[in-house]
Amino acid sequence: MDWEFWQTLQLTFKLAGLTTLLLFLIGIPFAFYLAYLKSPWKPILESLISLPLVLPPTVLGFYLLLFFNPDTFLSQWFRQIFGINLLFSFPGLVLASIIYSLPFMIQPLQAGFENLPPNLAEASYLLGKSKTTTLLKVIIPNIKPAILSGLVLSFAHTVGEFGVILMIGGNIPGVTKVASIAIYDEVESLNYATANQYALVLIGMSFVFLFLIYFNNYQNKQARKKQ
Amino acid sequence: MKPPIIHIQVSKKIHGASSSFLLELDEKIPARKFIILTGPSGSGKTTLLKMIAGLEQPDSGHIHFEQTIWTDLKLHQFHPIRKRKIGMVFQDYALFPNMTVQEHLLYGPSLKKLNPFLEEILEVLELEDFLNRYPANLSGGQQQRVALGRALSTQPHLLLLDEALSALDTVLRKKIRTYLVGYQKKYQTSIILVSHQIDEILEIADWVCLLEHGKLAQSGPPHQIPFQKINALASKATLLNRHLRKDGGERLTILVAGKSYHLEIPPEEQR
Repeated sequence: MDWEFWQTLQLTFKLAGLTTLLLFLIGIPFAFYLAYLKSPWKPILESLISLPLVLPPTVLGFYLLLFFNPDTFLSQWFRQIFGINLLFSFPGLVLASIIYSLPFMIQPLQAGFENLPPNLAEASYLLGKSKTTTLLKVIIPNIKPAILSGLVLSFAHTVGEFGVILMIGGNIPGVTKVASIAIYDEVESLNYATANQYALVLIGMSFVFLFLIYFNNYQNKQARKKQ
Repeated sequence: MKPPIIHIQVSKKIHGASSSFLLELDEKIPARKFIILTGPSGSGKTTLLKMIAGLEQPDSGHIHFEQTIWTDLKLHQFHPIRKRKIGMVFQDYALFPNMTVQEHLLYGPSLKKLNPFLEEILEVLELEDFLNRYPANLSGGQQQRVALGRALSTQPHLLLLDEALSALDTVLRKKIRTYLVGYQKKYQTSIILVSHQIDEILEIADWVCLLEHGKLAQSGPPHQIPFQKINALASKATLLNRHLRKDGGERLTILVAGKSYHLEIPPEEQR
């Protein structure tokens, strides 16, 4: 295993970690809003968020490629405010991953909020607490399984991302070359041994993450049975 | 000075499991008193409590608590729930699964340690031995007491108790209701307790509201409730004596669960 192997893995987990963290921060208020939204616009919003679940990644990648073009308003704004280019750059990958993995964070969180008995929040409001305090002290601590699902699924899905990354990030070592791209690259070069190493790491990691979710669900079911 | 009142003038269509009906009342209930709200299941009692708390909106009307407008659809006014200073015990308790018994009591008043008032509540509710237990590790009766303790913890202006004593054994129930009567008098709190217990109605209530199918069938001091209504509620009330008063009213002596009670029926309410 050479230095580039570890660099690629490091970049993969950096991208997944940063995407998951940002998605969590965006996802909590957004899913909370969606869960309690009573508007005819709700199905439209939900459909938009869930689009990455059904769209071929190349479709999303194609439109992101157009939006991330240096001439667009979005790209210019990012360049002016943060001094970064979105196309073929790590920040561009993060932004694309957030959009691509959005439903994997929002959906479990929204389900968690919706499944929580509404009178828990009501009891907190009646005790004089604000929405923020209620969210932080009552709601979030009681949807931990949903949060864990959102975190794990978003992380794992970002690690497994391929089509979108290839289209807007390319294959620049140390910048945009992540494990899924590296596997494709190594196979093309007939370097199956290295491709296998990447693949084994991803399989092991995916199994551990899925095990975490299912073990957590199993423990919750056992706890409910005891009650 | 006029005595403080809670003015409820609301109308709301209620969709029950088997039928829909209109909850409609216009009543001035004395505030800072112990009020018992009773009536058959599905008559709208919980919905009424939730409307008072601001957790449900009426279709039309208003709710005034003493001098404050809590809800007024005509004036588009809605007093925020968290500023109403209400303590509420929900029928299913609505305890926070992530908080211990002690944390439940500290949460409302935003305290880090128990103060003498909270210690008094814990003692009355016999919860001192369960301070570090989570709701999942408590019995139904213990959970109900935690919910009551949490509702009392902020010393609210109005206590809404939706069958808040129903899961308790007779001895503890009597002890807690005696405490609640004393608490109400000491802090001048308005208490609305939903109860089906006739002895509770006759012994502790200053005012009784009988709700039947969304309409207020009776509202007044407990001794003025017609015997037929008491009988329908208790189903074991026995009329012992009927005495005609000089003013044309009646004084009834009834027997409920081995105890006798007097009902004073004014002339206009005789039937």
